[in-house]
Amino acid sequence: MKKIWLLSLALVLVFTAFALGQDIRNPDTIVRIEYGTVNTLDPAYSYDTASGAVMFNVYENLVMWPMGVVDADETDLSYSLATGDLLPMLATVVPSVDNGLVVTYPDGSVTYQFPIRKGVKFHEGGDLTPEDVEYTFERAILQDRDGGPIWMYIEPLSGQKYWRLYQVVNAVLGIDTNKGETIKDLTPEQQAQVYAAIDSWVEVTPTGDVVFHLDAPYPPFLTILAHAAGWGAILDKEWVIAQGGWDGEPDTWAAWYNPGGGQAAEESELYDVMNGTGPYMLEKWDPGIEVVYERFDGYWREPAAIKTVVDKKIQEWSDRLLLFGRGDADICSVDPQYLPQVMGQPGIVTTLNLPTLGLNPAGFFTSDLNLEGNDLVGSGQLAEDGIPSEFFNDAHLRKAFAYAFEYQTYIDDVLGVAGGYRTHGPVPKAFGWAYDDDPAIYYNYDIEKATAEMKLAHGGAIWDTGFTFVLLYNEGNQGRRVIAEILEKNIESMNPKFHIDVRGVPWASYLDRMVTEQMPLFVIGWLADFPDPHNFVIPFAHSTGTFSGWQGATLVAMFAENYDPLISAAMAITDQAERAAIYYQMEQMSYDDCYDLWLPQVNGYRVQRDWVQGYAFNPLFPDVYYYSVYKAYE
Amino acid sequence: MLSYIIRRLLILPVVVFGCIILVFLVMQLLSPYQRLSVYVSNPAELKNVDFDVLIERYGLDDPIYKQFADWFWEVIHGELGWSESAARPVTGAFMRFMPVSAELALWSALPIILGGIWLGSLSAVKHNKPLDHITRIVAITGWSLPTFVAGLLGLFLFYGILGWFPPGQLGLGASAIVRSSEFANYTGIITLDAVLNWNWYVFGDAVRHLLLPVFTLAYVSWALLLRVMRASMLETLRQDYVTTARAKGLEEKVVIKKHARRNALIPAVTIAGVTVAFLFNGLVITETIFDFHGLGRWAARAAQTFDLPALLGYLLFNGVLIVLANLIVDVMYAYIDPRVRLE
Repeated sequence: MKKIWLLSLALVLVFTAFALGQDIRNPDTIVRIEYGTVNTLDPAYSYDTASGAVMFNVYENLVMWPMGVVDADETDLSYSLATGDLLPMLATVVPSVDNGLVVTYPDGSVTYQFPIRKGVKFHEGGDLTPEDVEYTFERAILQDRDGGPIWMYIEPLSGQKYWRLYQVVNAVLGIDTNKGETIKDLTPEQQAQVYAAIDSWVEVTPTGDVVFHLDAPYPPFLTILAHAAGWGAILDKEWVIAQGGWDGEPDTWAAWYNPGGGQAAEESELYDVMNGTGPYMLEKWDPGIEVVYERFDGYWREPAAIKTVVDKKIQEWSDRLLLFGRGDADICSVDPQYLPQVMGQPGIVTTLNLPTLGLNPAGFFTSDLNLEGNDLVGSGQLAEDGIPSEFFNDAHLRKAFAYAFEYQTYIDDVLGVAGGYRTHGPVPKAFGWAYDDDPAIYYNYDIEKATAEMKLAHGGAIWDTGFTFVLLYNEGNQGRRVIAEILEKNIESMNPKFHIDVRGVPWASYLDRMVTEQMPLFVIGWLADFPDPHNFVIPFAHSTGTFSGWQGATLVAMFAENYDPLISAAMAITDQAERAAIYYQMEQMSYDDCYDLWLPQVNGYRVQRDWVQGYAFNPLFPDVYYYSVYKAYE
Repeated sequence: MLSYIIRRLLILPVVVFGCIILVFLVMQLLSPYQRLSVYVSNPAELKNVDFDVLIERYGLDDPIYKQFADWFWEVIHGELGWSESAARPVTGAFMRFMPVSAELALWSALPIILGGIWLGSLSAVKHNKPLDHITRIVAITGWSLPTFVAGLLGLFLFYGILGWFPPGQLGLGASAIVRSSEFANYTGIITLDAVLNWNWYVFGDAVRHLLLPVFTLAYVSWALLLRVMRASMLETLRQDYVTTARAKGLEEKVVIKKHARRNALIPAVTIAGVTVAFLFNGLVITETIFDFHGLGRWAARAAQTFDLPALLGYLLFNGVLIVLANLIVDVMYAYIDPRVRLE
């Protein structure tokens, strides 16, 4: 409290000291302050937003997204997430059925053909060639580190038969590599066999185009290649080889497979070096401290307006506030609870109500709880002092919890000035074409309905016996704590025999409980890898999904039986209206099954100095796209 | 003296070994999944992470003696492992963060020690006079004020309003010079490197950024030294030999400097030694408030995220530091007080 009082007291003084009309500080430099550790500079390795933000400015992809602008005078939301609106970047044309560059064959396979732009230079001086593009994707596929993003290419290119390279290796060679552990021991002949199997996935045509060959349709394929997807960043083959990377030969790739076991980023030869075609070059990367970019004057488009960008990682909010207030920083990351401290201050522009692309947070019920060593379930019996393993197996009980959450209160009191919106899953609201906005499939706070459902739960036994369990939240996260406390308060108010004990634990413990299926209800979220419902229905509703896979045997069986077929069906067709119908059906089923708690989502917002112009916007962007930014009063 | 020093140095590995065993034992209370959490902070990565494979690969289910033996084998080959919280190897993290803490420590040590000793002895000499009361107030406020409050107040006043002393180690211009190929980074201690490069712009900018954290540290740290020195000095000034020295007609200046202060220094030296050791340790709050990326900040983050390689490496470093600091203090005792024999 002392700290908040101090901050508040000083705010007036600090900001008053810098009224409107202040001279533009550091006109040739943008200083961006935020927090978020960059883990690697290798595009094929990187799967976190902070690393993706660096790829985004230094590397480029074959195609890119249209973007709007959010700056001091204007909020232009003319971005698009529609495949049909993609723009060419390192390709000269975006392939489509209309222009004949997307072709579906009688056997169901599909090809995407990209003519490659000429006259594009890499920062180190090399020329972009189609062979660079082919090498980029083959390298990524053959690296496929554990926990990495390359499943997004293996899945479509293999016709959705596989999503990891080791599965391809197992199938081609007829061996068991223990989930890739023995791939490094493959002989050159075996490596050549595997390479032969994937070679046709990406090839250079005699005319110098690059062709991707998919064994089956994959409607969002172009979106996975688009700029903002760091894993699709195009590399200079000769330069990568010079850094010690794979030499491009069919029988040598295993030595570069899964560097560091996927958990030691520095094992990749591109860990701390970059050489892209983008408008900025990497000047310096000091992990956890700052990233510095310098303008690339040989850029294939008009060079950027800003010469230097300094992206500083500053955890302490007071430092960020002071630097921002004095104009020594131009763009600032502001947590929702601190927004009131900057809104309306002279020299600061805050833009609210921006679309976001995620389902974060969401609540996940766990069926068939693991009772072994589980101190969250009390006695582990259907009794007032515990819960049984099959506690959340019952849909009535899940619905009771869904009716017991105060959604609007959460938006008003927790999300504060940033505001939020109601949503249901498993498709985020931002995908308007696939999102069913029917009010009938939203759960709203209704304690009477919650009570009614609770009385039906487990044939009425829950109401008679009562229960006790521990509801964990991830420490350091105010919002998650409030979610737990709202549920505790409202559930306990229904019946004096209902007891929920809310407890905060560190991420390590939270992850442990999640993975071992010990938590009756866990809260976590998903941000979009690419803008298609498929990227969400898998983690939320597929039997092997990242989160749904941990929801216990009964729910997993339900996903396998009812949702997996729909998910596959939606990917087998390309007509958007037909796909939308399937997703609508899934959303209705999600309402009926109530396997998740669909929590309100915070609105997006931007905070910047009033002299920052040209700030590009698209909810898919990992962070600032400095190319379009300049400093001026307009 | 030499044999004493050697004997003390021989204890060093035993002490460090004991601390490491302790941490290893505590870490065994964590499940393998908890220990893996440091590698998985982004939920998206959970998609393709097979925890059982990772547990086997990192030997997290191995018997404790095997885990320790594996780690120890790597350490004696110079491999301290990878620090997830620093996003770099543990040795790289030390090389990056230690100069920052060392710079803060070196610049703070002088005002803390000299200021604490000088003010302490002065307030004893001017016992119950206005100067004594002023130093008492300084000591109480410094001791009572939490570092983060002092730091934030200073930052708001001297940077937020006056714009004099920004957070961070360097401004944009000086940073660009240090990044450039014309500036040689010899030690990582910016002020020292600036002198060695004969670049006074960078030196001046670094000092400008150091003044506030150093002053904050000094203000909250010298209280203890000041009061200990004052108490020790007061007691010494009451000794018979001091009365004798005065009676012999020696100047008061000489009595205080040559006879009283040297004897009064003994307890103060202990405090000073420990204080400086803690400074080199890294100071989480100061480093966080003033955006200095030093050891303390890294260690705090490593502890929060269960970054075991980082924690063990930090423990190794700390063990060596504390043992050496105590050794230096003991040697200084012998120098200050001839009655002390190091046997």
